[in-house]
Amino acid sequence: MTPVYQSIGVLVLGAVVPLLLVSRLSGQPRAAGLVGLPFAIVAAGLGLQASQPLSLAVVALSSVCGLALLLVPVLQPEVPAHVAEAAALLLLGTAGAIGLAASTDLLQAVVGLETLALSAVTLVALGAGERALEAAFKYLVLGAISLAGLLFGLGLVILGTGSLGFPTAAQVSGSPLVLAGVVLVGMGFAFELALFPLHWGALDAYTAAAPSLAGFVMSASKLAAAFALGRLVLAAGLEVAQILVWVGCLTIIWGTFGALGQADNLRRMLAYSAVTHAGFIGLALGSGPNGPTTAAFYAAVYGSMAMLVFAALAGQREPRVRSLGPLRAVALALGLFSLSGVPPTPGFWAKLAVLVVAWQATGPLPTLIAVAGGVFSVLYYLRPLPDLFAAVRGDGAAARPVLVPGVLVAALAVVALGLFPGIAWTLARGG
Amino acid sequence: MMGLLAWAWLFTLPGLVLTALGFPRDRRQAGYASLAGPFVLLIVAVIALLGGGSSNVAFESWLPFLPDGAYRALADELSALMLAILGFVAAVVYVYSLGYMADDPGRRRFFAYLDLFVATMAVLVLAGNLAVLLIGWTGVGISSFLLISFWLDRPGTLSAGLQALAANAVGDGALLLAASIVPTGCGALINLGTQQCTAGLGGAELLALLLFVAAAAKSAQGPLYFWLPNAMAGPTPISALIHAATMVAAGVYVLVRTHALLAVAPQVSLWIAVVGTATAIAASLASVFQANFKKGIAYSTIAQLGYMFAGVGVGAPFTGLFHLFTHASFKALLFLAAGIVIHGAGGRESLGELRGLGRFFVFSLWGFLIGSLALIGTPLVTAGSFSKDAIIDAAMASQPVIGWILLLGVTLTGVYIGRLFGIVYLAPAADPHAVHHDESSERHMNWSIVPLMVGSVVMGYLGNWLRTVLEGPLGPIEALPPLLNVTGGLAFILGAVGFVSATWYVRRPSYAPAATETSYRADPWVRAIAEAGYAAAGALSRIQSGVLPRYVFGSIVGVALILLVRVSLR
Repeated sequence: MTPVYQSIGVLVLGAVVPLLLVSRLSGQPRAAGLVGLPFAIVAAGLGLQASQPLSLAVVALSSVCGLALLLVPVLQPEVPAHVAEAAALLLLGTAGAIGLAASTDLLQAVVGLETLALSAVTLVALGAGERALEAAFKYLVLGAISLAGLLFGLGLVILGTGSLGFPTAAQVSGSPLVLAGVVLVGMGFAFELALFPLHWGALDAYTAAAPSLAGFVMSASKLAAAFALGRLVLAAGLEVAQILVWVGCLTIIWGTFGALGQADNLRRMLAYSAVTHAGFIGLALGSGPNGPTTAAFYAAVYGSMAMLVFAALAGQREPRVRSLGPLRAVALALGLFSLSGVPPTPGFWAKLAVLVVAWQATGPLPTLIAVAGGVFSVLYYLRPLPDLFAAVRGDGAAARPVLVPGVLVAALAVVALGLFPGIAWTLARGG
Repeated sequence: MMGLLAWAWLFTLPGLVLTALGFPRDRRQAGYASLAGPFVLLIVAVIALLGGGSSNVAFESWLPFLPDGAYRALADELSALMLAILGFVAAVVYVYSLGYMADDPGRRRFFAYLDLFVATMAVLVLAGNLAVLLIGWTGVGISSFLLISFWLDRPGTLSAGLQALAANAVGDGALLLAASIVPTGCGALINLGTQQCTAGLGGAELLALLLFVAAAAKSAQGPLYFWLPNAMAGPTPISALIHAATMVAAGVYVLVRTHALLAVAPQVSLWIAVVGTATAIAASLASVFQANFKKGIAYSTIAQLGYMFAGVGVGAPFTGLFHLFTHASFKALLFLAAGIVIHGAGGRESLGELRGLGRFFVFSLWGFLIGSLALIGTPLVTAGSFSKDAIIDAAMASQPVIGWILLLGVTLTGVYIGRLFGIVYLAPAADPHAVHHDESSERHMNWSIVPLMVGSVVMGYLGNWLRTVLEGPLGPIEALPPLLNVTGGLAFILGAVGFVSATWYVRRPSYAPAATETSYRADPWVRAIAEAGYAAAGALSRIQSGVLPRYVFGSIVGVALILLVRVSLR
């Protein structure tokens, strides 16, 4: 059994434990988070032994899961009940995400994808209030539609190639049936990535989910989908890559304009920003033989910074920037810097890596779109900043002590990736 | 010493940490912990400059995904000179701010931002390759944004900050592109002009163009001028340090640093000269019509940066750098002298309100006069004449038309600065009771500008020494014009005529500018672009209405279209 399967096993086991203890843990969010944490850590450790680039997938996904578990203790106001179930779903969703990222044939991919997608939908639905429920329902319906497309594509692929494996470039260019099948399968993965025009449900779900859980939902699905799409593109070659380049560019444009319109709504802005970042991943995926590695690197970096931003916002039902207190304000600022791509944060290095491969493989226009989307993002990300720093003076609420480990670990991850981006790069490509 | 200087960006970080953490505890002493940083920077830079030599710091394969992913810092005579300027003006501004920001509740935050700015500016100056340059380049932009929007509760400051961010974003994008498109192994700034590095798509011209766009955004040249006048929404010491002496000059510095690349891209060089000259004339004209004291000086900064660009563009990078050197001193002096009056008038900035108030502040009066004389280039006694003449001379030699335009432009320089001087310092006071003297904070401000007065007088005499020192990094440099020369004399006469006539015109009692509230709204054409963008954003948000059937429709049609296009295109 490979380290990847071992880590999936550990995570599934980890999901079972809190469920068995549900009656004991329901009133104790802190214990619920702590019970799951060792499993995430073990899974990450196992991931270090996996082969590249899966090593990055397992490590990054398990770390995202671990960070999300650290935030479980503050779930209470955001998620009225079912805290233990949330912990279990985090672990189960991670197992599904690793399954999707590591899938060697399309059937495995579907199983992983659905495990992840259903966990994510349920996590969104756990949030307090009607809006979370409504968003989760939309996410579920749209996910079901994209799953239908994916399964139909799967059928076409089997029809054309006679196997469940990722179709090769020769098979794709040989038959329009297989091409159509691959495109549909790719679109199914793209739904998880939140690529335009399949981002609608994700956008609302990201906006309405409880802050402590939103970070996980956003980054885990992106990470897994980036790896799966990378595998699909590497096998199927140029025909699929070109779609991803242009869909990626459209996504960047859509997300950028969308985020620009959200001056007063931080959560919605962050949701649009997740769409923009999906566009960068899509563009990278389509950018030649080095593209998928770069996309994986980007997704891992995105995971760290999304987790940081949401760790800073956790524990509040509606984010109020002025009442964050010094520690969380600085953490949020760091996260926003990274999301907008201010050097030397990891978000900047990831963006730069995408631009390098995009220029080499796709030429001036996509690169220019990506540059514009990247640099003008400061206009919406940094807008809350003066307010944020003015609040650091300390008249805001004190940080809740249970939050400190989560915020600190996420901040450390971002700082480490910023100073030594080579770590993630090595896990993705080796040497 | 160069070895130590290569780490100069660390010098203000202890101060930043201490100040941000709240040391010293007493709010009235906030910022004391930051004071040492700029002085250390100044001393180390000057010693390194005197010692000469160069020092490279390189950590290879720091960023394995880039064409040149090393951390490269380069400390040589050129960066030492820039850091010395930075340290000098910063030291003055820190001390000055102790007085200017004495009663401001956000004083601690102010000094923390200042430390951040000096650190990022040092990174920019020390950058050995494009990757490191980007860190400093973006960093100073963000510090500038934070300081422009410092007084958040005043109307328009956030808008002014966002304008700066938007203009900077254009420049950052150009630089980002440059860092992504260079061939593998390239990225070191001094090697960008080599054959190997200009071999990529677009060649030397594209690379030079990208650097020019980046520099123009930072230095407010051409259409990217629009953010700098509104950046005056920030506190006056910031206007002096960031938006006059150092950060806005970074564009000139980078072009000087990459002069070898410009040398193999003659067309771009010509464009740099043309844009610089046009900006100089247009900004000088615009300055004459400003109703806000600081905005008037800001347009002057844009114009002087235009002169520097022209110098770099006509193939004489040293003249541009020399003017940067003297300009840092006299323009910071002008701003800080203006700040004394503004502080004494309770923060009022419009010319109508400040009319005649300058005479009550002796240091400010003399400071502004010396700064003005240096600006128009009074021979022998001010630094500005040496460097400005060098630019005009160099332009005359290679592009006579540009040279003549720059020469005639000095008249406008005299007119706008004479107007400001006449209104604020010579005209009868509009309302003498508006003046409040605050001894303790004024003492800090008054004495701190004295070094700048001295600098504005003597720095020009360092020209020939600098020329020999900088021949290392810049290659052979043409001799500077003699102390007294025809172009310089002509320029001074033109400037003096403008200065005297403007002064005479505006001090008449009948000339009374309106006391208007300063607006930091963007210029109409910038607003039009921004509004179009936000309208598109709004329309797009409305499409995203949350209605499930529409989402389903969008998804299915989208996928169908992609499928159709893909399958039909094969």
